[in-house]
Amino acid sequence: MKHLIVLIALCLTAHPACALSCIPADPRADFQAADASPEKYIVVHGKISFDDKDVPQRDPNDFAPKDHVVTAQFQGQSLNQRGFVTPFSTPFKLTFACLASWCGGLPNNRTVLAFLRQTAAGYDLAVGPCGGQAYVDPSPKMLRQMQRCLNGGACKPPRF
Amino acid sequence: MTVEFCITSNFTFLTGASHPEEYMLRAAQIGLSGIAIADVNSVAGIVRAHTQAREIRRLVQARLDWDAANSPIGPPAPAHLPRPESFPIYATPRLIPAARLRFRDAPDVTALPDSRAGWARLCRLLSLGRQRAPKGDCDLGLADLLEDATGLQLLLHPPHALPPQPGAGGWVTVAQQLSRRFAGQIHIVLAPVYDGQDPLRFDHLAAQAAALGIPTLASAMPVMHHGRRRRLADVLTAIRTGTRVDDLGRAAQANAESRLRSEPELRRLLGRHQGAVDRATALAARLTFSLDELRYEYPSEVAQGETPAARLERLAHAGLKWRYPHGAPEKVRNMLAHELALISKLRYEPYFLTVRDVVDFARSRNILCQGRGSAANSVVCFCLGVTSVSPEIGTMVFERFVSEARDEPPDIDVDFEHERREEVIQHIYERYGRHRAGLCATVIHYRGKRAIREVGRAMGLMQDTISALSSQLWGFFSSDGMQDARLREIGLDPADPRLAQTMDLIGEIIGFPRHLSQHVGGFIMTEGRLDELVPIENAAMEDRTVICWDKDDIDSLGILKVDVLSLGMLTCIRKSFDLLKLHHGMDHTLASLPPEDEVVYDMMCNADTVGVFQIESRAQMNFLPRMKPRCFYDLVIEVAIIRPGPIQGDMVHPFIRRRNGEEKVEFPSDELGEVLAKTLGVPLFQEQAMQIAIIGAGFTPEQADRLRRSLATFKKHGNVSEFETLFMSGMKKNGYDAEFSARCFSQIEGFGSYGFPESHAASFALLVYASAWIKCHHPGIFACALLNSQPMGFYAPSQIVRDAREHGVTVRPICINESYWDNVMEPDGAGGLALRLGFRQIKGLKEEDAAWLCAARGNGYLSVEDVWRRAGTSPAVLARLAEADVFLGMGLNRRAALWEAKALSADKPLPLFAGDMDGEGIVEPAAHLPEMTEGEQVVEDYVAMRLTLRSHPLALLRPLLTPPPGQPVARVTAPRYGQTPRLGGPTPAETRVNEGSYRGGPR
Repeated sequence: MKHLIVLIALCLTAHPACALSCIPADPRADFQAADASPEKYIVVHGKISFDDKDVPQRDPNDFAPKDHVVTAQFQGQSLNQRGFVTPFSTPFKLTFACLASWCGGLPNNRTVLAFLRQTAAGYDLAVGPCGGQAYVDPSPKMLRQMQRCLNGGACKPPRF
Repeated sequence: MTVEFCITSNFTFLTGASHPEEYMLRAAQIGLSGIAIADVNSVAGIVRAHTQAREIRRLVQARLDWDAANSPIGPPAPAHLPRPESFPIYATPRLIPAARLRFRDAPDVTALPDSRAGWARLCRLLSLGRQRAPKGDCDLGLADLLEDATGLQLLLHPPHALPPQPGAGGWVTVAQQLSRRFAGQIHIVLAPVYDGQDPLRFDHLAAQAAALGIPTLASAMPVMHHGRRRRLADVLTAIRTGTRVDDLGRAAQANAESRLRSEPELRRLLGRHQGAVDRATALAARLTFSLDELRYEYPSEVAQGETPAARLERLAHAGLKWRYPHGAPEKVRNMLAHELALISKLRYEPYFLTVRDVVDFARSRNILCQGRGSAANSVVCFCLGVTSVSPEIGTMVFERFVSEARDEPPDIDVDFEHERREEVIQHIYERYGRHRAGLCATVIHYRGKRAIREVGRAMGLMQDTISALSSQLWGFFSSDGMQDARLREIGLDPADPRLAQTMDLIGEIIGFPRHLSQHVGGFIMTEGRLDELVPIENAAMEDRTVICWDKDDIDSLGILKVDVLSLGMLTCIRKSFDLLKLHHGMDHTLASLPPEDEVVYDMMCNADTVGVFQIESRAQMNFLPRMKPRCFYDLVIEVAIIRPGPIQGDMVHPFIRRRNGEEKVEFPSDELGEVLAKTLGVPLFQEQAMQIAIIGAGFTPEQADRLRRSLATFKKHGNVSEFETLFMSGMKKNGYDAEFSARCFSQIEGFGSYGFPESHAASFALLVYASAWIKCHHPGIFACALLNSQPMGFYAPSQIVRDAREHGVTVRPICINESYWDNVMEPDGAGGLALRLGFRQIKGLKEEDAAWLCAARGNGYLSVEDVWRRAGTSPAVLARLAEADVFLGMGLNRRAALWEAKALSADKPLPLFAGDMDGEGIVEPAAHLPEMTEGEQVVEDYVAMRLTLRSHPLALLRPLLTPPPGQPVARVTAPRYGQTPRLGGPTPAETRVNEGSYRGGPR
């Protein structure tokens, strides 16, 4: 999760002095990070479903870094030069990464714009507590941005 | 008869003081054989002049025919008898296409194409200059012209100044360059300046032209068709230069001489150089190119290797199998065969294939669309997927819309989801290329307010006077003579000469073009290069290019246009279908909804139609219980009846009486009975009005076509009434009573301001039914989709939410840990669904902020500060969120959340060590903020979201307004003298008709 920019996880003591600061997630930044990465990514738009029971529950007293991995199913379209038009369905490994008591999260059965990483075993997607990599209910504008990014157009994320 | 080559019309915006049509009429009056509207770097106005020339030709021909048929018999009238007053015009001037090229580095050159190739070159040159510059500008250099001027005759405009004054000699170099490069194509313009030095100037220029070996041509260089426009010309200059007329100085017209001149006048002005007039006449004889030669060719890729006829037939039959998987009824198959034969005869296949191509793309992207228009409600369009209205329910005859008599393309408009239409537009650009596809222009004309503001300012009126005039706009420019009274009402003296002059000028400037804008969605696609047919220019919007002609112009030239329109309700229906699929596994399309559902019609009969397409207005709601729709065709009527046409023609009440059996259904004649049978003898649709004109009043197809066109452009030109005499006399001749005829004609006039044909009503009725079906069976999903499609429709979110709750939908408040940008449906814990309001309902919150907020939410936010740190939300946005009470889910009420948000001072948290170190954090004393009352909460809800899920505002006032026990309401409503009555009730709900979502109506 190179492209996930977590600036600091500051957890000096158990509580209450914990603070996690993030840079706001933006799909254009994710696209550029994926593009620069030696790993292969596929940008998809569609429904992600998984078993709700596998979603990590917050335990405010649990500060050990922990990842929750579930098997999820994607059904939708992948991006090509003409937009999100290629039908694409796959099972994949969905990781909810946690940092102290903060965990990544995704709603079940919702339309998502996601960056699936291709691995030897298939695809995986990691969502961290700062977000990124997966965007629920993306707007048509966001989808057009992705197409523009792929076609070499303007793909500059906003400055933070 | 000579010609005028260098006319500046008002399409050289804020410069020319006359319409192209006025020049053409004037040319006919003064006997010119042709005129060239040569606007600066533009050909935007020439089609109007061309159309006017066509109309003059028609009228002259009609006069000649009449003369031939009614030639006087007998000896000529004695010479001493006075001749009857008459001003017969037999001149039929033609339009010579032209443009005046203005270069950044050379004097102006008027370019006149002498062939189709020359026109193509001129269009490409103008496209080049226009696309180089921002919208409205043109950037051309002499080098662009020198590159190629094939098929162009060039008229060089030398400067007015006489040597030895500066700036008068540079043009000679340009003339030499041009004459070397384009020998025989270059001419020098001899034009009077009316400054007393014209003879000297003509001598000098003629000598220089002779030295250069370039012939001279005569022109009056008119900027107005008639001298009376001088004042307006000055006002236009003042508006253009941002000054007052009084301060124009030398920029003002010195006199009213720069007008269109007749041949004798021009000869007199040129004196001994009048050979230039003959040379102009001779050149005009060589300029035979006419806009009628512009042959439009349909794009060929739609045929994809097959012949268009074979492809259309194959696709139509494949579509028939798709639409009727169990076999199509005999009637439908016969209709299809009949329509295909007619389309083939008229060779319209490429048109239908082009529309199908666009629709097919939309379907491949899951973009909901629905065709409408004259040819849309055909079996062919149903099979091609252009429309979902089953042709079996229609009663329209295909020929009526794809007319053999009118050799013009059929009209199909396609509505797309308003949020996704841009994808379709970009697809068209991509598929055909920007050099072959472009949007039509819309000419923005001066209307009341702008005219008052700009002319008032130019005439030096005070700002408060201009504001007062604007506020009384409705009373001006009417024929009822109320203008003076209105002026007195606002404290102005109508007798004041300056004010009277200003009012005259305001009236004169109304209708003048101000600038070009893009049409809402009219696309032109061509086989060859579009930029060789018409110049293309940049639009204000990114990635859009437009042509310089508007829809009337291209209609006049017979060029195909496909309207790619947007409709908010389609977005709402698409979102509803998506939610139905997600939550109920129901996979619906417009064509697959259960038809003729009794429960849906029951709901409509009860006027329970908040949010339902087209029938949600108060007028429609009022009409529904009287109309009692029980089938699809009733909806078609319902959509068309509450319109200015039927209302103005007083057709609504007779229809209802006949429908309810209170009045006998009878027809004015057997012939009209066939036309009016389906609407119980009452004409309701625009097609019926046209049919009455043809059958009842005996209009010829050509007259009916002119009436149809004048209806389409009524708002702009208001010339429907010229048909009144023809209509009334025709009806009388055929034995119809005057009262019925007058009603029919006033209905036709009503259609002029907003016509509604059956073919459009049928397409809209399907959307009415679809939206009503969803609302009836899935009110929560409907409300959710409707809220997510805002802004659209008639009702504000608060009314939509209240209506949903009245239909038993659980509506949950916006929550920082549960909501998204859009409103969503979520499990309600009891096996059903609840509507969770989204961040989009919060006033002033940006979608981008909500996206970051949702992306970083992970397994939930713990505090306001947590949101600030993780989502990077600025304190101002957090305060907005707090005001909307979205932190209640984490135990923070509105005031507590706002208290926390206001404690955050920096826009962004510091990246390192920003957290409160243990023991280092500022320990604030606990803030014991007072609880807000229910009333305060309601007020704040409305301030933040324009809606509340708490009490109705009136519920809070109920104790104050309820009369004491035992006191009858009658006493409250009939107080004694001096007693102050207290009454309560909701104010009329704030309604906001979004014109954009309704404007998809027919034109």
